[in-house]
Amino acid sequence: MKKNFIIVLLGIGLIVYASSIIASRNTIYYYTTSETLNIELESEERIKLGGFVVEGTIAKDGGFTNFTITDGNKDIEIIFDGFVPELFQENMGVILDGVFDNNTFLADDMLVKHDNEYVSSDGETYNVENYSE
Amino acid sequence: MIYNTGIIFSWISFVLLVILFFNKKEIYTEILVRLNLFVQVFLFCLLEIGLFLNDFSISYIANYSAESTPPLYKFASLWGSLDGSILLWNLCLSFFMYLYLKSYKDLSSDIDIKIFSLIMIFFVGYTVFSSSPFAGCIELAAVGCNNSSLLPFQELVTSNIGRGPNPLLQNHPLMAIHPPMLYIGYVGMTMPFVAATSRLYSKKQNANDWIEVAEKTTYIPWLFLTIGITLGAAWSYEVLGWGGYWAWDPVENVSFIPWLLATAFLHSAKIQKSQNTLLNWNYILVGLMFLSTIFGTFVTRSGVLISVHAFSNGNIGTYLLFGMILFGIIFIVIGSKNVEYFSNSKKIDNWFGKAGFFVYNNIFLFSSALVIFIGTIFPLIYETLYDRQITIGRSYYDILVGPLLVILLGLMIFSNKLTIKNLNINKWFKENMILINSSLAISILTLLTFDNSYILVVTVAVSFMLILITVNNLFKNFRKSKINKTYWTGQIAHLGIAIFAFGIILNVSQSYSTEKEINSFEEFTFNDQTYFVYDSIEESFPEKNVIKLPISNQNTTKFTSLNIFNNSSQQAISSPAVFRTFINDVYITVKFIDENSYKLIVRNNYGIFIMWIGLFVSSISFVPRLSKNEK
Repeated sequence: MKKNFIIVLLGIGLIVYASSIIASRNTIYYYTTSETLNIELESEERIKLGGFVVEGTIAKDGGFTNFTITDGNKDIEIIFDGFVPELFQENMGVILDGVFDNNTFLADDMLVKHDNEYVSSDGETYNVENYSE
Repeated sequence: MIYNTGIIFSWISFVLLVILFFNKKEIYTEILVRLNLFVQVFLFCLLEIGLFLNDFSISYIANYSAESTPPLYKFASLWGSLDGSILLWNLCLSFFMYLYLKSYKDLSSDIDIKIFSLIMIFFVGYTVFSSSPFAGCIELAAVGCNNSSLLPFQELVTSNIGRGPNPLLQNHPLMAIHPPMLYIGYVGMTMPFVAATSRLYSKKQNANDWIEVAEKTTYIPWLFLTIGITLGAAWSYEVLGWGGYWAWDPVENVSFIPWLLATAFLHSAKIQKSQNTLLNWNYILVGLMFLSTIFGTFVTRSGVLISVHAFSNGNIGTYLLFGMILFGIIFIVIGSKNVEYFSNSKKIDNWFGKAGFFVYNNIFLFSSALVIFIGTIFPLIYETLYDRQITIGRSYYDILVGPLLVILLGLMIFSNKLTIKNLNINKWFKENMILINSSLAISILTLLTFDNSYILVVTVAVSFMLILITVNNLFKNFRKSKINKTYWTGQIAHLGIAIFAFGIILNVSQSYSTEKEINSFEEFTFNDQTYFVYDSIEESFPEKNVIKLPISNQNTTKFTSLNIFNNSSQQAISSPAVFRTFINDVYITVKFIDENSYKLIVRNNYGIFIMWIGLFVSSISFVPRLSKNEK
């Protein structure tokens, strides 16, 4: 009884430990827009930048999509050249992959976090692709 | 009118449940449970009536429905958002309470109905004290309602138009069925919890009867959870146009965790019934199953997914967390009172017999659930500790959960012949030689056809072996009446999973996609087939505009469409055109439209139809259980 209990606990501990290690190796880190004020970046250094798409800023410019993202404190203009996910829209949380060019962020990859506005209203069943590439 | 009635009857339901909880006379129990069910059905109908009458003085209706919403989606708006879905949750709960009373009640004591009513007081309490779908609107927003009141007989304001449901909700009928299925699955997990806790609380000599009831009551929610998850995946693939069906998204994960735990329990309960072992483990599983459903609701409803900081804003999060702790304590207290009983658990002798294999099954299912749980909460913990937001990449799940599920598939191969005694491996190999060889041949063929990874070959080999052995077994032995029906339920479920696994591994390893830029009345070739693109058609509905693009291939014309909803500023939902064969889907979505030129995404998705067949087979595994010959 006691021996089994210890084995089970050890097993669970092992799984928790192993998956935390693997999880931390597979995390996608991103900076919020205000955090970019405090970091030193080498030129052309690729980073991930997260924020919410500001209402009324989405515009198509040829093959590019331009918009602004914010975390509430700092706005950053984005020039996006790449695949726009189906659910992309205003007020939505996005994580972009790219480089800074002066004060604009040039991105070519986007992860969408599901719509902020609808969080309380759809919840578990409708935002099937919270993070879809 | 509806607002006052709704609020008052919510209170009546609450009071009924409190009376039920303190009730000491057995004759009143059934009356109260019936009354409560009646009130909940009435509340459900009442809100539906409100939705169809467009009663925009009710905040919920003003915010999540609109006059232009088509009837089916009006009906489904009831569970389109938090407050309404709690109403549906309560309806399911009161129905299950009635079912439990009628079919599974412990006749010697009322404690089970008391625990049931306590759980229901908790959920009805939310609609009474915190946020109700019947709350009246007292302050208008630009569209819809901004502020509402929970008290009856207030001066209300009525908005002229409603905000309408989330566009994602009104895109396809599947979306109307999928959430209730999941709710029934979630809520149903209350029954095994009540069975376990109540029967161990009032423990008598034959204390093992709790496992019988818990097992029986787990199967129903398990089935609905299976159907619900399947429909969600199907909807996401067939309607949403991003080409996938599962994204390891937290919202999906929390529906998968109870499923894995329930699957584990359905197996280990059998071992307890036949060999009186794993008593404590089964009790823990039942508790975790129930708590994981509340945890799921907590994760999806509290806003912690956006950020841990969003948590403090909503009150449902705190409320559910409190509930988890409360029910967790009840569970632990009752468990610790039964330490003596649990220590009666027999040791497992035959590690290659039924008990052994079922333990392995439980280890891997539980590990999968644990890994997914950690993946889901890891970003939350990380943000709390380091104040940095992260997300977990898909690779985490591919690395960890993928192999676990393949091992489980491997274990299933032996499931048709397991007895209490150890399996005779040599004899087993001899008996199944032809089947093993043919599935090896198939996997070698796979290896030669697709230049691919070992995981593909292993999965193909294992899933084929499982399919062949199960089908062979079905043909040979299905008519024999001495084998009990739950055995066949298991075998059919395994067959479905094997077919599913074959489909999913094809899909994961073989699919590819390209982008095509094309004008109207031109054709393109993909995968040796020619597709002709016509001119786009625009259709207007009261609630949306649809741009349809007809594409034809060998006399079949399908549409890929972009749905633009009036009540949503930017959100366009694209639906795919799917040209389906047994082995692959050509899946076309339109990325953007500029006058007469289009950018299309063309995907070649393998194995999807096979996956759906597999999930369908698993879902009909209940059929043998319907048969009359009780064993």
